[in-house]
Amino acid sequence: MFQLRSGIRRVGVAGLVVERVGKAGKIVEDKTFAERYTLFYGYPKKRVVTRTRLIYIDPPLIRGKAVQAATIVLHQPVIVIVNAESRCITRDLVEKALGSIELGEQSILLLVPYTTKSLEDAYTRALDILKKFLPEASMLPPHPSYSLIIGLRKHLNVEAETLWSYEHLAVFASIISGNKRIEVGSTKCVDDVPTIFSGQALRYARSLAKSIINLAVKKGTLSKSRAEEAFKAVEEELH
Amino acid sequence: MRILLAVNKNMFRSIIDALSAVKPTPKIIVASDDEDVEVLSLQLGYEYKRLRDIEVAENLTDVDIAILALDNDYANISLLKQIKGVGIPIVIAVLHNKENRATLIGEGASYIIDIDSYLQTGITSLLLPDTWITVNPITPLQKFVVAVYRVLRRGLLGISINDLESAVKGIHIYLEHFNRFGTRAENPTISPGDFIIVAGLENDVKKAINAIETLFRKIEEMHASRISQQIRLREYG
Repeated sequence: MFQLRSGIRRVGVAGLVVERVGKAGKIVEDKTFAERYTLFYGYPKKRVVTRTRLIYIDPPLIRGKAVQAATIVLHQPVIVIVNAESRCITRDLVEKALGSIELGEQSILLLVPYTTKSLEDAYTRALDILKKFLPEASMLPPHPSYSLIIGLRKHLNVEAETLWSYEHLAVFASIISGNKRIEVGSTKCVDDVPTIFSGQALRYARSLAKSIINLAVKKGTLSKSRAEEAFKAVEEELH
Repeated sequence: MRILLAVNKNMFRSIIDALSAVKPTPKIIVASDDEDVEVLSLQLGYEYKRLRDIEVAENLTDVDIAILALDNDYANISLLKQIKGVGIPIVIAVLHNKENRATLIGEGASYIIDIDSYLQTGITSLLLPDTWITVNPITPLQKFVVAVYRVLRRGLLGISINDLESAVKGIHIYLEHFNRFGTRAENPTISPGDFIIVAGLENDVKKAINAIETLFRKIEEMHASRISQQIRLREYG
């Protein structure tokens, strides 16, 4: 068993819950982290049991909003966002990942895909459209969302919104500003997205594609006329 | 007095209206990320700061009151944590989801304005007629409650507000009768769509509700028995 270091570290941790806190929720309760929150974004179930401070996210059932809320609420330089319902996340995994962030090897680390087949398909389609307009899109992570997001707060906190894959916005913003220290880990274990989110895959993909185009325009890597073409392509092809 | 007002565009007008009544006129520092709020506050002559700049603001040390009325609870919590170190004596936070009350208190809010309850009470009283709905309008006064009852079916009984007043005689409550548009009803007879408002301490309000319910049921029974007698008369007469 990997031993935790003693004392309080400059790390904030947030656990995202939509149904009930699972095994990974224990990591959020670890008192060596300076800030610990559980963010509940489920609905209509109203009660979750946790030892940390609990924040109810409005509007509910929007994962992108919940991840963004975590980056806003946590004020430590390094933040860990955990899917507290995950079967795959262990304390060792979090510690190893944190180690590489704290040593400065990476600035954003995404581990354990959190996905379903329909989400994957819609995401791949969105990615194909984006690649035509933005060459940087080829560097986006291969899966639509991840159960474990670790990184520096300044890179993860992006002024942009999306319905599902908020971490991708952070990654994209980092890429276009020249930060290449991003790693997407490959683990065999994959977390399934609860059925409550089923049937929304295309909407999520569309929302992500539009947000990325907007971000590219804002950062000056895509001209407005090209952006309009890209929006049109997204509207036509992601339906 | 110096007030730090972190506000979104939806709540800006109502809070500024409230603050303009404060005497002597306070110095207001507005903090927001909304462009609308930036323009408005500069036009009205307030100091304006972006939310990101609050953390490094030096002149917050002499702020007496902070009002946090941002878009959502986590934005309020985040700002609350930022200004914690400054030591502002009174922090008032607007609560959007009543489940977050404990977290906001835990983070150091001195007072909480619960807009969630008001909205819920307003909508529930419109959707659930003939049901008593209670709300606690002043958070620090936990025992003070207001009960709202929208009359629909029972509006046909022909009961007047005077009957209700005599039913709750001796109980220390405030009883009022409004028409469906929220203005004071001129006609003393309670008709469908009207609101009955009972305000007071929790125990007294409960007693008053029981007394009013007893009166309603009594008159309902009288009506029911009269109707059943009429039916019998028709059958055999």
